[in-house]
Amino acid sequence: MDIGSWQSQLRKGAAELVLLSVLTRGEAYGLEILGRIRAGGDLVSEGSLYPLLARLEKAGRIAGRWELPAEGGNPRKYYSLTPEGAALAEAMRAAWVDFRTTITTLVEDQP
Amino acid sequence: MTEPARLIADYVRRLRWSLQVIPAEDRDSLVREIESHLTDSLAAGHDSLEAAIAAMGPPHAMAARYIQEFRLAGALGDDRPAPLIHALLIRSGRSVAAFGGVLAAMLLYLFALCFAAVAIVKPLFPSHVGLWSLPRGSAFGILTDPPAAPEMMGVWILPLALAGALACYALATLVLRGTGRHVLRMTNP
Repeated sequence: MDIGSWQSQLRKGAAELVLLSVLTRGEAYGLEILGRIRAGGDLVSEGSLYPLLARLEKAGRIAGRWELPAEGGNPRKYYSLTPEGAALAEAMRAAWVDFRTTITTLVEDQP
Repeated sequence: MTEPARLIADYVRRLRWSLQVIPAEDRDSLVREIESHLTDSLAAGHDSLEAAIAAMGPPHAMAARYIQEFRLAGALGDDRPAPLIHALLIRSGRSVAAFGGVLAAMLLYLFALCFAAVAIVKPLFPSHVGLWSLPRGSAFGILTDPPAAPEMMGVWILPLALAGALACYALATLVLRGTGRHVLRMTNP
């Protein structure tokens, strides 16, 4: 079995949870979000981050707003969780903890 | 234009081109965001720009991922009326616009159906379908008991009814899509 494609499926499934969790720490724009995620490991890349942000915004889980930095330069799109997104993040976190416990029992605790 | 700046402009241009199916307003925002990301990456050095472009992959692959995610969010124009009506009906309790849009579209679909029926029945029962000028006003459509007055359209009613059916169908779908976008914008300010 191709371990690479299975791993990429795992990453894809986790990306939404990771993104929402990272935004519970406060508003951020794309590059900042990527920085926060990379600080914890290499789970999401530019190539998947922006399309995922677009979907979550369309679905009303996050809200985006454009801002010009005070020091000049590039306009940036800042994202924050909507109340719906915050509730989803919390529900996903709880489901993840359950899932992790199950998997740990089944997979890691083998004698 | 410097070489890295051209690299960015080129990527952004190709991305915009590949995102044609995304509504213009969303497309502009997506493309501007990528441009902003690449410009920020360049500010951190040329290597960082190249790494960002490599991570995004070719513009058409990036666009394909955007389109896939938009489909998932149900935010792309869908020409099939049933899912659109369903999605709007769910919201129609909360939104006057959604309710009005669905009502208007349903009426238009009904008109389309009537026109189509006229076109289908005309060849079968030619004398029962047509346009009559009567003393109390004119009558158009399918009549079980056609009046004695001469029918005025003849076979021309066939193409006219077909065109009417298509026009009503297209207009209804436009109304639904317009309402859908409007409602989406309301729920995602």
